Amino acid sequence: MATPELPDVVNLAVPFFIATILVELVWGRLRGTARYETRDTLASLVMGGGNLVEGMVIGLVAVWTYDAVYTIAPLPFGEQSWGWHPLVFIACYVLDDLRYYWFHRWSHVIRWFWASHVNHHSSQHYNLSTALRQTWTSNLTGAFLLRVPLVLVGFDPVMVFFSGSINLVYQYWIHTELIGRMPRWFEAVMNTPSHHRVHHATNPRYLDANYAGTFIVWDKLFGTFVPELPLVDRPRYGIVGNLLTFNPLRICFHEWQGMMRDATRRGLTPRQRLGYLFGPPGWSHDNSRLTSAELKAAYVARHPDQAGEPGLT
Amino acid sequence: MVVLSWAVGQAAEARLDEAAAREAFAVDHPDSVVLSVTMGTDGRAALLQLGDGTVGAVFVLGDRFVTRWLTAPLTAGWSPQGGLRLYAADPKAPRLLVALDSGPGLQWVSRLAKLGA
Repeated sequence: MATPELPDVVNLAVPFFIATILVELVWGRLRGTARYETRDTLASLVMGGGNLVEGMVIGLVAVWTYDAVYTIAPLPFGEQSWGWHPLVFIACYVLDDLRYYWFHRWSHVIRWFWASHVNHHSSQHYNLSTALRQTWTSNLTGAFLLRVPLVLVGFDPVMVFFSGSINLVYQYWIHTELIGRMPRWFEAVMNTPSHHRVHHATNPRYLDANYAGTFIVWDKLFGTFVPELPLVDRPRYGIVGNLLTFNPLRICFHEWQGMMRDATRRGLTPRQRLGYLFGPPGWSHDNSRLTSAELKAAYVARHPDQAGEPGLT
Repeated sequence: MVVLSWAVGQAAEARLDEAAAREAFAVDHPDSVVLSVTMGTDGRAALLQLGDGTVGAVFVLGDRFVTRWLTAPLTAGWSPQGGLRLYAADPKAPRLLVALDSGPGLQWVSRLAKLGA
Protein backbone atom coordinates (compact mmCIF):
# COMPACT_ATOMS: atom_id res chain seq x y z
CA MET A 1 0.00 0.00 0.00
CA ALA A 2 1.35 3.43 -0.93
CA THR A 3 2.08 5.93 1.81
CA PRO A 4 -0.83 8.42 1.89
CA GLU A 5 -0.32 12.15 1.62
CA LEU A 6 -0.64 13.54 5.14
CA PRO A 7 -0.94 17.21 6.07
CA ASP A 8 1.80 19.05 7.95
CA VAL A 9 -0.33 19.57 11.05
CA VAL A 10 2.18 21.82 12.82
CA ASN A 11 2.31 24.31 9.96
CA LEU A 12 -1.45 24.05 9.52
CA ALA A 13 -1.88 24.87 13.21
CA VAL A 14 0.17 28.09 13.08
CA PRO A 15 -2.86 30.36 12.40
CA PHE A 16 -4.64 28.65 15.30
CA PHE A 17 -1.61 29.25 17.50
CA ILE A 18 -1.56 32.95 16.61
CA ALA A 19 -5.30 33.43 17.06
CA THR A 20 -5.42 31.71 20.44
CA ILE A 21 -2.38 33.58 21.75
CA LEU A 22 -4.09 36.85 20.82
CA VAL A 23 -7.27 35.73 22.59
CA GLU A 24 -5.33 34.64 25.69
CA LEU A 25 -3.34 37.87 25.70
CA VAL A 26 -6.43 40.07 25.62
CA TRP A 27 -8.59 37.82 27.81
CA GLY A 28 -5.81 37.43 30.35
CA ARG A 29 -5.27 41.18 30.43
CA LEU A 30 -8.97 41.82 31.02
CA ARG A 31 -9.20 39.23 33.77
CA GLY A 32 -5.84 40.07 35.32
CA THR A 33 -4.48 36.57 34.73
CA ALA A 34 -2.24 34.93 32.12
CA ARG A 35 0.43 37.59 32.20
CA TYR A 36 2.38 38.22 29.04
CA GLU A 37 5.65 40.13 28.91
CA THR A 38 6.42 41.67 25.54
CA ARG A 39 10.11 40.68 25.27
CA ASP A 40 9.45 37.27 26.79
CA THR A 41 6.78 36.67 24.14
CA LEU A 42 9.07 37.86 21.36
CA ALA A 43 11.83 35.54 22.59
CA SER A 44 9.42 32.59 22.61
CA LEU A 45 8.27 33.34 19.06
CA VAL A 46 11.85 33.58 17.81
CA MET A 47 12.67 30.29 19.51
CA GLY A 48 9.63 28.71 17.87
CA GLY A 49 10.64 29.97 14.42
CA GLY A 50 14.19 28.73 14.91
CA ASN A 51 12.88 25.33 15.93
CA LEU A 52 10.96 25.04 12.65
CA VAL A 53 14.07 25.94 10.67
CA GLU A 54 16.20 23.48 12.64
CA GLY A 55 13.63 20.77 12.01
CA MET A 56 13.70 21.43 8.27
CA VAL A 57 17.50 21.44 8.05
CA ILE A 58 19.01 19.15 10.68
CA GLY A 59 15.79 17.16 10.98
CA LEU A 60 16.61 15.70 7.57
CA VAL A 61 19.13 13.47 9.35
CA ALA A 62 16.25 11.95 11.28
CA VAL A 63 14.24 11.44 8.09
CA TRP A 64 17.14 9.68 6.36
CA THR A 65 17.76 7.55 9.44
CA TYR A 66 14.14 6.41 9.70
CA ASP A 67 13.93 5.69 5.98
CA ALA A 68 17.11 3.63 6.16
CA VAL A 69 15.89 1.70 9.19
CA TYR A 70 12.52 1.08 7.55
CA THR A 71 14.20 -0.70 4.65
CA ILE A 72 15.51 -3.35 7.04
CA ALA A 73 12.33 -3.63 9.16
CA PRO A 74 11.25 -7.31 9.10
CA LEU A 75 7.56 -6.46 8.76
CA PRO A 76 7.02 -2.97 7.33
CA PHE A 77 3.32 -2.37 8.08
CA GLY A 78 3.02 0.50 5.64
CA GLU A 79 3.36 -1.91 2.75
CA GLN A 80 0.56 -4.16 4.02
CA SER A 81 -3.10 -3.67 3.12
CA TRP A 82 -3.86 -3.04 6.82
CA GLY A 83 -0.78 -0.89 7.39
CA TRP A 84 -2.71 2.39 7.54
CA HIS A 85 -5.74 1.05 9.38
CA PRO A 86 -6.94 3.47 12.09
CA LEU A 87 -6.13 0.90 14.77
CA VAL A 88 -2.55 0.75 13.55
CA PHE A 89 -2.36 4.52 13.73
CA ILE A 90 -3.80 4.51 17.27
CA ALA A 91 -1.22 1.91 18.29
CA CYS A 92 1.52 4.03 16.73
CA TYR A 93 0.29 7.16 18.52
CA VAL A 94 0.10 5.47 21.93
CA LEU A 95 3.52 3.87 21.56
CA ASP A 96 5.03 7.15 20.33
CA ASP A 97 3.49 8.90 23.32
CA LEU A 98 5.20 6.33 25.55
CA ARG A 99 8.43 7.06 23.67
CA TYR A 100 7.81 10.76 24.29
CA TYR A 101 7.34 10.17 28.02
CA TRP A 102 10.77 8.56 28.34
CA PHE A 103 12.44 11.06 26.01
CA HIS A 104 10.95 13.87 28.09
CA ARG A 105 11.90 12.24 31.37
CA TRP A 106 15.50 11.76 30.23
CA SER A 107 15.46 15.37 29.02
CA HIS A 108 15.08 16.38 32.65
CA VAL A 109 17.39 13.91 34.38
CA ILE A 110 20.27 13.72 31.89
CA ARG A 111 22.11 16.99 31.39
CA TRP A 112 23.03 16.19 27.77
CA PHE A 113 19.33 16.26 26.85
CA TRP A 114 18.49 18.98 29.39
CA ALA A 115 20.94 21.31 27.61
CA SER A 116 18.52 21.25 24.70
CA HIS A 117 15.21 21.02 26.55
CA VAL A 118 15.96 23.76 29.10
CA ASN A 119 15.05 26.29 26.40
CA HIS A 120 11.41 25.33 26.71
CA HIS A 121 11.45 25.92 30.47
CA SER A 122 13.43 29.15 30.45
CA SER A 123 10.50 31.55 30.66
CA GLN A 124 9.16 32.66 34.03
CA HIS A 125 5.79 33.02 32.35
CA TYR A 126 3.33 30.28 31.57
CA ASN A 127 1.11 31.11 28.65
CA LEU A 128 0.43 29.83 25.16
CA SER A 129 3.49 31.59 23.77
CA THR A 130 5.60 29.48 26.13
CA ALA A 131 4.51 26.42 24.17
CA LEU A 132 6.26 27.85 21.12
CA ARG A 133 9.55 28.39 23.02
CA GLN A 134 11.20 25.31 21.54
CA THR A 135 14.78 24.16 21.28
CA TRP A 136 17.07 24.62 18.30
CA THR A 137 19.32 21.73 19.23
CA SER A 138 17.03 18.75 19.75
CA ASN A 139 18.28 16.78 16.76
CA LEU A 140 21.90 17.43 17.76
CA THR A 141 21.39 15.46 20.97
CA GLY A 142 20.56 12.32 19.00
CA ALA A 143 17.18 12.05 20.72
CA PHE A 144 15.55 11.28 17.38
CA LEU A 145 17.10 7.81 17.64
CA LEU A 146 14.54 6.99 20.33
CA ARG A 147 11.95 6.64 17.55
CA VAL A 148 14.03 4.06 15.69
CA PRO A 149 12.43 1.10 17.54
CA LEU A 150 8.98 2.17 16.29
CA VAL A 151 10.22 2.18 12.70
CA LEU A 152 12.08 -1.08 13.20
CA VAL A 153 8.92 -2.70 14.51
CA GLY A 154 7.33 -1.77 11.21
CA PHE A 155 5.40 1.48 11.56
CA ASP A 156 5.77 3.64 8.46
CA PRO A 157 8.13 6.57 9.24
CA VAL A 158 5.51 8.95 7.83
CA MET A 159 3.00 7.64 10.37
CA VAL A 160 5.55 7.99 13.15
CA PHE A 161 6.25 11.61 12.16
CA PHE A 162 2.53 12.32 11.84
CA SER A 163 1.90 10.93 15.34
CA GLY A 164 4.67 13.11 16.74
CA SER A 165 3.25 16.19 15.02
CA ILE A 166 -0.23 15.63 16.43
CA ASN A 167 1.30 15.05 19.85
CA LEU A 168 3.16 18.36 19.58
CA VAL A 169 0.00 20.22 18.59
CA TYR A 170 -1.90 18.57 21.44
CA GLN A 171 0.64 19.87 23.91
CA TYR A 172 0.17 23.46 22.76
CA TRP A 173 -3.15 24.16 24.47
CA ILE A 174 -2.00 22.89 27.89
CA HIS A 175 0.38 25.84 28.27
CA THR A 176 -2.11 28.19 29.88
CA GLU A 177 -3.25 29.44 33.25
CA LEU A 178 -6.66 30.43 31.92
CA ILE A 179 -7.95 26.87 32.23
CA GLY A 180 -8.19 25.57 35.77
CA ARG A 181 -9.24 21.96 35.80
CA MET A 182 -10.86 19.85 33.10
CA PRO A 183 -13.59 17.27 33.91
CA ARG A 184 -12.38 14.60 36.34
CA TRP A 185 -12.39 11.77 33.78
CA PHE A 186 -10.30 13.88 31.41
CA GLU A 187 -7.80 14.83 34.11
CA ALA A 188 -7.46 11.14 34.98
CA VAL A 189 -6.35 10.07 31.52
CA MET A 190 -5.12 13.07 29.54
CA ASN A 191 -2.39 15.62 30.02
CA THR A 192 -4.04 18.92 30.93
CA PRO A 193 -3.09 22.53 31.75
CA SER A 194 -3.18 21.67 35.47
CA HIS A 195 -0.83 18.70 35.07
CA HIS A 196 1.52 20.60 32.83
CA ARG A 197 1.67 23.67 35.09
CA VAL A 198 3.17 21.30 37.63
CA HIS A 199 5.74 20.20 35.07
CA HIS A 200 6.84 23.78 34.40
CA ALA A 201 7.02 24.76 38.06
CA THR A 202 10.22 25.14 40.08
CA ASN A 203 8.66 24.60 43.50
CA PRO A 204 10.58 21.67 45.00
CA ARG A 205 7.51 19.43 45.20
CA TYR A 206 6.85 19.90 41.49
CA LEU A 207 10.38 19.31 40.18
CA ASP A 208 10.84 16.37 37.81
CA ALA A 209 7.15 15.50 37.56
CA ASN A 210 4.45 15.06 34.92
CA TYR A 211 6.50 14.27 31.82
CA ALA A 212 3.50 13.17 29.76
CA GLY A 213 2.84 14.29 26.22
CA THR A 214 -0.77 13.35 25.60
CA PHE A 215 -1.64 10.69 28.19
CA ILE A 216 -0.94 11.44 31.86
CA VAL A 217 -1.34 7.73 32.59
CA TRP A 218 2.38 7.20 31.88
CA ASP A 219 3.29 9.38 34.86
CA LYS A 220 0.85 7.51 37.05
CA LEU A 221 2.24 4.20 35.79
CA PHE A 222 5.90 5.11 36.29
CA GLY A 223 5.51 7.04 39.56
CA THR A 224 6.22 10.59 38.41
CA PHE A 225 2.72 12.06 38.70
CA VAL A 226 2.26 15.01 41.05
CA PRO A 227 -1.10 16.82 41.24
CA GLU A 228 -1.30 20.60 41.20
CA LEU A 229 -2.03 22.10 44.62
CA PRO A 230 -2.71 25.74 43.73
CA LEU A 231 -3.96 26.70 47.18
CA VAL A 232 -1.07 25.03 49.02
CA ASP A 233 1.82 25.62 46.66
CA ARG A 234 1.08 27.87 43.71
CA PRO A 235 3.38 26.98 40.80
CA ARG A 236 6.33 29.29 40.15
CA TYR A 237 7.59 28.95 36.61
CA GLY A 238 11.02 28.96 35.05
CA ILE A 239 14.19 27.09 35.91
CA VAL A 240 16.28 26.75 39.06
CA GLY A 241 18.53 29.80 38.62
CA ASN A 242 16.60 31.77 36.03
CA LEU A 243 18.13 33.39 32.97
CA LEU A 244 18.88 37.09 33.16
CA THR A 245 18.19 37.76 29.50
CA PHE A 246 15.64 37.57 26.70
CA ASN A 247 18.37 36.97 24.11
CA PRO A 248 17.35 33.88 22.04
CA LEU A 249 20.97 32.89 21.41
CA ARG A 250 21.71 32.78 25.10
CA ILE A 251 18.40 31.04 25.79
CA CYS A 252 19.39 28.42 23.22
CA PHE A 253 23.03 27.83 24.09
CA HIS A 254 23.58 28.78 27.76
CA GLU A 255 23.31 25.24 29.11
CA TRP A 256 25.49 23.80 26.36
CA GLN A 257 28.09 26.42 27.21
CA GLY A 258 27.89 25.70 30.92
CA MET A 259 27.98 21.94 30.41
CA MET A 260 31.01 22.04 28.13
CA ARG A 261 32.81 24.42 30.46
CA ASP A 262 32.18 22.06 33.37
CA ALA A 263 33.15 18.91 31.50
CA THR A 264 36.39 20.36 30.18
CA ARG A 265 37.68 22.01 33.33
CA ARG A 266 41.13 20.95 34.53
CA GLY A 267 41.79 18.26 37.06
CA LEU A 268 38.71 16.12 36.62
CA THR A 269 38.66 12.36 36.27
CA PRO A 270 37.01 10.88 33.17
CA ARG A 271 34.14 9.71 35.37
CA GLN A 272 33.60 13.25 36.66
CA ARG A 273 33.60 14.63 33.12
CA LEU A 274 30.95 12.08 32.17
CA GLY A 275 29.01 13.12 35.26
CA TYR A 276 28.83 16.68 33.98
CA LEU A 277 27.64 15.46 30.57
CA PHE A 278 25.26 12.68 31.48
CA GLY A 279 24.53 13.12 35.17
CA PRO A 280 21.42 14.96 36.34
CA PRO A 281 21.28 18.75 36.01
CA GLY A 282 22.78 20.23 39.18
CA TRP A 283 25.25 17.40 39.64
CA SER A 284 28.78 18.53 40.48
CA HIS A 285 31.95 16.65 41.37
CA ASP A 286 32.44 18.71 44.54
CA ASN A 287 28.78 18.82 45.64
CA SER A 288 28.73 22.59 45.21
CA ARG A 289 25.35 22.48 43.45
CA LEU A 290 22.03 20.81 44.04
CA THR A 291 20.12 18.34 41.90
CA SER A 292 16.33 18.21 41.93
CA ALA A 293 16.42 15.30 44.38
CA GLU A 294 18.66 17.31 46.70
CA LEU A 295 16.42 20.37 46.39
CA LYS A 296 13.45 18.24 47.38
CA ALA A 297 15.36 16.75 50.32
CA ALA A 298 16.35 20.23 51.51
CA TYR A 299 12.72 21.35 51.29
CA VAL A 300 11.55 18.34 53.30
CA ALA A 301 14.23 19.05 55.91
CA ARG A 302 12.75 22.56 56.30
CA HIS A 303 9.17 21.27 56.20
CA PRO A 304 9.19 17.80 57.78
CA ASP A 305 5.41 17.91 58.17
CA GLN A 306 5.12 17.71 54.36
CA ALA A 307 7.31 14.62 54.00
CA GLY A 308 5.53 11.89 52.09
CA GLU A 309 3.24 14.25 50.19
CA PRO A 310 3.16 13.82 46.37
CA GLY A 311 6.45 15.04 44.95
CA LEU A 312 8.11 14.99 48.37
CA THR A 313 8.43 11.27 48.99
CA MET B 1 1.03 39.79 18.81
CA VAL B 2 4.25 41.29 20.19
CA VAL B 3 2.98 44.76 19.27
CA LEU B 4 -0.38 44.00 20.85
CA SER B 5 1.36 42.77 23.97
CA TRP B 6 3.29 46.02 24.14
CA ALA B 7 0.18 48.08 23.34
CA VAL B 8 -1.84 46.62 26.21
CA GLY B 9 0.91 47.54 28.62
CA GLN B 10 2.68 44.24 29.12
CA ALA B 11 6.11 45.77 28.68
CA ALA B 12 6.18 47.50 32.05
CA GLU B 13 9.06 46.43 34.28
CA ALA B 14 8.70 45.11 37.80
CA ARG B 15 9.37 47.56 40.63
CA LEU B 16 12.21 46.47 42.85
CA ASP B 17 12.48 47.85 46.36
CA GLU B 18 14.14 46.46 49.47
CA ALA B 19 11.13 44.41 50.54
CA ALA B 20 10.70 42.93 47.07
CA ALA B 21 14.40 42.08 46.89
CA ARG B 22 14.27 40.28 50.25
CA GLU B 23 11.13 38.41 49.26
CA ALA B 24 12.44 37.34 45.85
CA PHE B 25 15.73 36.14 47.30
CA ALA B 26 14.00 34.24 50.09
CA VAL B 27 11.87 32.33 47.59
CA ASP B 28 14.90 31.08 45.65
CA HIS B 29 17.29 30.75 48.60
CA PRO B 30 15.13 29.97 51.62
CA ASP B 31 18.03 29.03 53.89
CA SER B 32 19.74 32.40 53.48
CA VAL B 33 19.51 35.17 56.05
CA VAL B 34 19.59 38.66 54.54
CA LEU B 35 21.39 41.13 56.80
CA SER B 36 21.22 44.23 54.62
CA VAL B 37 20.15 45.36 51.16
CA THR B 38 21.85 47.92 48.92
CA MET B 39 19.51 49.15 46.23
CA GLY B 40 20.79 50.16 42.81
CA THR B 41 20.18 53.81 42.06
CA ASP B 42 17.99 52.94 39.08
CA GLY B 43 15.87 50.46 41.04
CA ARG B 44 16.74 47.61 38.69
CA ALA B 45 19.09 45.64 40.92
CA ALA B 46 19.94 45.07 44.56
CA LEU B 47 22.88 43.58 46.40
CA LEU B 48 22.23 41.58 49.55
CA GLN B 49 24.69 40.96 52.36
CA LEU B 50 23.93 37.49 53.68
CA GLY B 51 24.33 36.15 57.18
CA ASP B 52 26.97 33.59 56.24
CA GLY B 53 29.23 36.29 54.81
CA THR B 54 28.32 35.65 51.18
CA VAL B 55 26.54 38.02 48.83
CA GLY B 56 23.31 37.70 46.89
CA ALA B 57 21.78 39.82 44.17
CA VAL B 58 18.35 40.46 42.72
CA PHE B 59 17.77 41.85 39.23
CA VAL B 60 14.72 42.99 37.31
CA LEU B 61 13.98 41.04 34.13
CA GLY B 62 10.85 42.41 32.52
CA ASP B 63 8.01 42.01 34.98
CA ARG B 64 9.87 39.38 37.02
CA PHE B 65 12.96 39.12 39.20
CA VAL B 66 16.07 37.00 38.84
CA THR B 67 18.16 36.17 41.89
CA ARG B 68 21.78 35.13 42.13
CA TRP B 69 24.05 33.92 44.84
CA LEU B 70 27.34 35.55 43.90
CA THR B 71 30.12 33.01 44.11
CA ALA B 72 33.66 32.76 42.82
CA PRO B 73 34.97 33.07 40.21
CA LEU B 74 33.66 36.60 39.85
CA THR B 75 35.30 39.82 38.73
CA ALA B 76 33.97 43.10 40.09
CA GLY B 77 34.74 46.61 38.92
CA TRP B 78 33.21 50.06 39.18
CA SER B 79 33.04 52.88 36.67
CA PRO B 80 31.38 56.30 36.94
CA GLN B 81 29.35 55.58 33.82
CA GLY B 82 28.15 52.07 34.49
CA GLY B 83 28.33 51.60 38.23
CA LEU B 84 29.23 48.18 39.60
CA ARG B 85 29.99 45.65 36.89
CA LEU B 86 30.25 41.96 37.70
CA TYR B 87 31.56 39.28 35.39
CA ALA B 88 30.60 35.78 36.47
CA ALA B 89 31.34 32.31 35.14
CA ASP B 90 27.61 31.84 34.72
CA PRO B 91 26.31 31.41 31.16
CA LYS B 92 22.81 32.32 32.37
CA ALA B 93 24.00 35.76 33.45
CA PRO B 94 27.66 36.40 32.58
CA ARG B 95 27.50 40.19 32.94
CA LEU B 96 25.72 41.82 35.83
CA LEU B 97 25.23 45.53 36.32
CA VAL B 98 24.24 47.33 39.48
CA ALA B 99 23.91 51.11 39.20
CA LEU B 100 25.67 52.49 42.27
CA ASP B 101 27.28 55.77 43.25
CA SER B 102 31.01 55.77 43.81
CA GLY B 103 30.91 55.35 47.61
CA PRO B 104 28.82 52.20 47.85
CA GLY B 105 30.10 51.01 44.48
CA LEU B 106 33.73 50.96 45.57
CA GLN B 107 32.75 49.45 48.92
CA TRP B 108 31.06 46.58 47.13
CA VAL B 109 34.05 46.05 44.84
CA SER B 110 36.21 45.70 47.94
CA ARG B 111 33.71 43.45 49.69
CA LEU B 112 33.38 41.12 46.70
CA ALA B 113 37.17 40.96 46.34
CA LYS B 114 37.45 39.85 49.99
CA LEU B 115 35.03 37.04 49.31
CA GLY B 116 37.63 35.63 47.00
CA ALA B 117 35.18 36.26 44.26
